[in-house]
Amino acid sequence: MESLGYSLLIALGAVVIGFIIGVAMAVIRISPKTNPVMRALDRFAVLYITVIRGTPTLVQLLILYNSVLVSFKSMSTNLLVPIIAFGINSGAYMAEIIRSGICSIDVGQMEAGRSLGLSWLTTMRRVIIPQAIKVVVPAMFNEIIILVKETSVVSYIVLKVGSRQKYDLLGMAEKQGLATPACYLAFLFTAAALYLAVVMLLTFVQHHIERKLKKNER
Amino acid sequence: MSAEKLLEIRGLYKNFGSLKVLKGVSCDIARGEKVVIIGASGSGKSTMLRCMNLLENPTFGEIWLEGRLLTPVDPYLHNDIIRASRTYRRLSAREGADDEALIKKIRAEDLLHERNEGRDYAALMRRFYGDNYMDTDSARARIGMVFQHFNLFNNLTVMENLTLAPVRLKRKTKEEAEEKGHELLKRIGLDDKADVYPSTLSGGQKQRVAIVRSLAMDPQVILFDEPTSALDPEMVGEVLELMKALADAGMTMCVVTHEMGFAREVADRVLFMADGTILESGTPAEVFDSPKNPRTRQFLEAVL
Repeated sequence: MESLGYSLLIALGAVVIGFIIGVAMAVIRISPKTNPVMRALDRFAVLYITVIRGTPTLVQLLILYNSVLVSFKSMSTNLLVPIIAFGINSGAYMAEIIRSGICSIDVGQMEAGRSLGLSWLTTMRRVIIPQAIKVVVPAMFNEIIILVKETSVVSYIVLKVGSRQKYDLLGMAEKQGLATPACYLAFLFTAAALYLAVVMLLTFVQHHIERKLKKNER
Repeated sequence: MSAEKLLEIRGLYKNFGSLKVLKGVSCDIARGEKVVIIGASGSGKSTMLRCMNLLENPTFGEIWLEGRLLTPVDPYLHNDIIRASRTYRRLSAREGADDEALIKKIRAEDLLHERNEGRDYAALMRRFYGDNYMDTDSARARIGMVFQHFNLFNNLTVMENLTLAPVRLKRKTKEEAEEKGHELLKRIGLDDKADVYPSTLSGGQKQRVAIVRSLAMDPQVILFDEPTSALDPEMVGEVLELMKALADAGMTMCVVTHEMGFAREVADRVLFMADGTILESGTPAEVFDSPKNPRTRQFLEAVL
């Protein structure tokens, strides 16, 4: 059960980081490129999205674990490594999801905001993004569900909490399976069932949010 | 620039790529004046309106609001800037033609290029701009705009639609804005709709809310871009009524519309546009009853 908690903690942290990165990158990608700073940021965003979407999550995790985040790795609690790694990974996908949401909002909304004297950023924040978020809820939950399952990749690295080695859901199943090989499959099925339960719960939450957002409009 | 002129459009050109939509439009709108722009679709009337609050950036030309420049300086519109240019001095030394002919030639042949001109010229341009400009967001806060498709903020309630801009731009406190909002909604008989979302309103109600949303900013002038074209026929009346009431209250208005009845009744001046130019301009009686230009006559025969 504790291992399920670590899996969910990593996923939750990654969703938060990914969402913040995603919104920022989407806004950068969509913004008018009127000055060199914005153009440079835009090129960075394109590069980031291309590289992250173009390489396997496991490879990214191992690269970060063994190089950039090596100082986090050596800390007694190194949960930050997978959280940041999955956050950066998910941010690229979320950026594209949110960008598609922003693009789906009628240009008239931005024009109306600007015609009242509101700045581009204010209109984005107060009018466009709230509407875009609503549009992207299904795609966003899709990404969150994928992310929850993809955290199973952390069983490739050594997780430490307070200097003690800990395991995520899949890691725990593997460990138990090694200890009692006869029950290996049973452990894997247990892990699978727990992932499934989490995903079903997420789906329920998604539908609840969708209903609530729809009611807001009426 | 006399104080009389509220909005001044000088030599406006707008190209979309190779498509020339506006080909040198000039017109003034005085405070309190109601100008109605008519013309076939594709004549550039909406583009001209959208240029007035810079939703489109003019390719050439200037727009002035209350004696302040909204667009970059168009050097061809200012003889003293042309005279300060190297091109002018060079041509004047070489050809020695008189001032007027030189200016005309430089303007017609588009001879001024910033790269070729000296520091004096650039400084003059900068000084002229610095002395006169008004930044785009302040200009837009003074110019109301009503769109064909209403463009109410879908994620905000009716009241929030009215208060967002005045509060965010610190024109009013939230309380003042809401008080003004209720006052405006009462005026259009929709005060009971203050807390609903725009999706529950009819087209006519949406457009009336959109009109009072622009009023909430206390604009100097309101631009209407075909405000009734997207409405069901039975809802056109209520929107036109509100616009007439605004006109009677002395609001400066510039309206692009196909409602000829409204134009005849409300306009101080009617502009007929075709092919990106203003072909005819006059009182409704002049334009509707005795159009001088054959194109105007043709258009009016088709629509009336």
